Amino acid sequence: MKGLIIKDLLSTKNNLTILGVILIIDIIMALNGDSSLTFLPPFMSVMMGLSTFSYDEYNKWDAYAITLPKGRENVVKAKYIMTLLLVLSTSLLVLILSCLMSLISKGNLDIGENLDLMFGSIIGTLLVVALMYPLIFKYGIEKGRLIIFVLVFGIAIGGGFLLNFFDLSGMGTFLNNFGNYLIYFLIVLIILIIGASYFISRKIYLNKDF
Amino acid sequence: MNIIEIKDLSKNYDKFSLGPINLNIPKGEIIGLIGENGAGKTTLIKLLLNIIKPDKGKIKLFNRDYLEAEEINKKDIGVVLDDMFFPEILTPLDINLIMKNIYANWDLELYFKYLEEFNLPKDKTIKTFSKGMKKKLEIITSIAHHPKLLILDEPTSGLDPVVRKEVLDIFLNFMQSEDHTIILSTHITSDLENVADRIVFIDQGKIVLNDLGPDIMDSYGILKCSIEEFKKLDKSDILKYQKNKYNYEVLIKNKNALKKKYKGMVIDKITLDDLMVLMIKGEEK
Repeated sequence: MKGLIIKDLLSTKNNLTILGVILIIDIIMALNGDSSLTFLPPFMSVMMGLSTFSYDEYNKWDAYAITLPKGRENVVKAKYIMTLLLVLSTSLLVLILSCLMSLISKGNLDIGENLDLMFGSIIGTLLVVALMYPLIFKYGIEKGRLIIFVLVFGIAIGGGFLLNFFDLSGMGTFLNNFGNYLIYFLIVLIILIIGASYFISRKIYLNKDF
Repeated sequence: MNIIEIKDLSKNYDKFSLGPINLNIPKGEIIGLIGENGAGKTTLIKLLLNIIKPDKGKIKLFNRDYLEAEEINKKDIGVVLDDMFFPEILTPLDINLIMKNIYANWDLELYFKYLEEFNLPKDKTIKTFSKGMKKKLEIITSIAHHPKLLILDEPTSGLDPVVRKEVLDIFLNFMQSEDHTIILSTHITSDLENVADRIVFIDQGKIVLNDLGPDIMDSYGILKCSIEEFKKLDKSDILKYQKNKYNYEVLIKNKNALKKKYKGMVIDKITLDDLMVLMIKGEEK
């Protein structure tokens, strides 16, 4: 499996420059006290992960990968691990650099706020991954992307509809009950969701014809 | 020992069906899988490798069920598929890094030796390679972990004769070890005439011929005759025939016996191309 993770990471090398530029912009903005782009590095990581699916599909890599030992299982495992590695490492990098910059600029930046934003971005990004990957494994990157686009729109419109007609203030109270434990609750929740997503993708991929 | 055993294997699509296929492949042979485009060669290869799932049937590789022993079997299999390989943004150096983390017996020295021998740049992306270079890289990658079984789908298609010869030499070199086996599908049948121990001919999803290569070349022939001569031929001697503008070409078996029976008629040596064309396009009397 290590080999396939390396293959996916090497496939993203063309995007590293773009990621580097985004990191620099992010840090410059953070220096000026603006952390509105903190969501970008994890988001970019997912885009890089998705680009590996496109390369794979274009070169019909999946059929070849299946001929390798434990190919079917490892392709799926490698995609999830590669994505997690990218999301977490880029986020961590931004955080470390932001802290350093904050020290240099003598506290112009609110690290606590930055951390919250970063955490939110990671959770949001991983939720999208959990939703998208099974669809991509089932339908391929092109069709999968289209389906996710429709789904996101559907959820946004449906969510707006629900907010208009139902009183969701109870939800806020419910979440407030968690107090300081909310963060742990969210971490456990996202791990469970990603785990479920992985098992669904694995089941799809183990039975798929290429 | 049979290295591959296929029993009642079938796969059905909307417009094409493969099988039922029954085939045993002994260890130590080069098997030429021939047939026109769309005959089912790639489907059969994909089934062997679990790239697609069969609707029915059983496959054994190395005397083990191909699904139960998939992981262990695939360590001993090298593969070249038609147009399916690593993403083209990777380089041969990247492939080395990946493969040495996949196969425990990945042979760095052999891999780089072949790269050098075939003048393949190590640090250029695959997308800058010509078709011939790419194919050579695929073949080198397929043998650098010392597999026992090579499964090659159209490994010589699109290559010029010089490169084809180089590629066939790699295969012959691979066959120096007597427990090595190659299954090679191709529609360039001339590649097989000198190297294949056995020919398996697939047409419209079914095996229509499975015989030793030299036996086919010795036994089959093309009888060329006029319409009058054609009328005198025994129906049982005619496998298939084709009517040309001035004569008939008749596919026959037991060439030497028929040479005595039909004295004065010309019986030519057969090529695999002729055999394929007559079996697919020829008529039955």
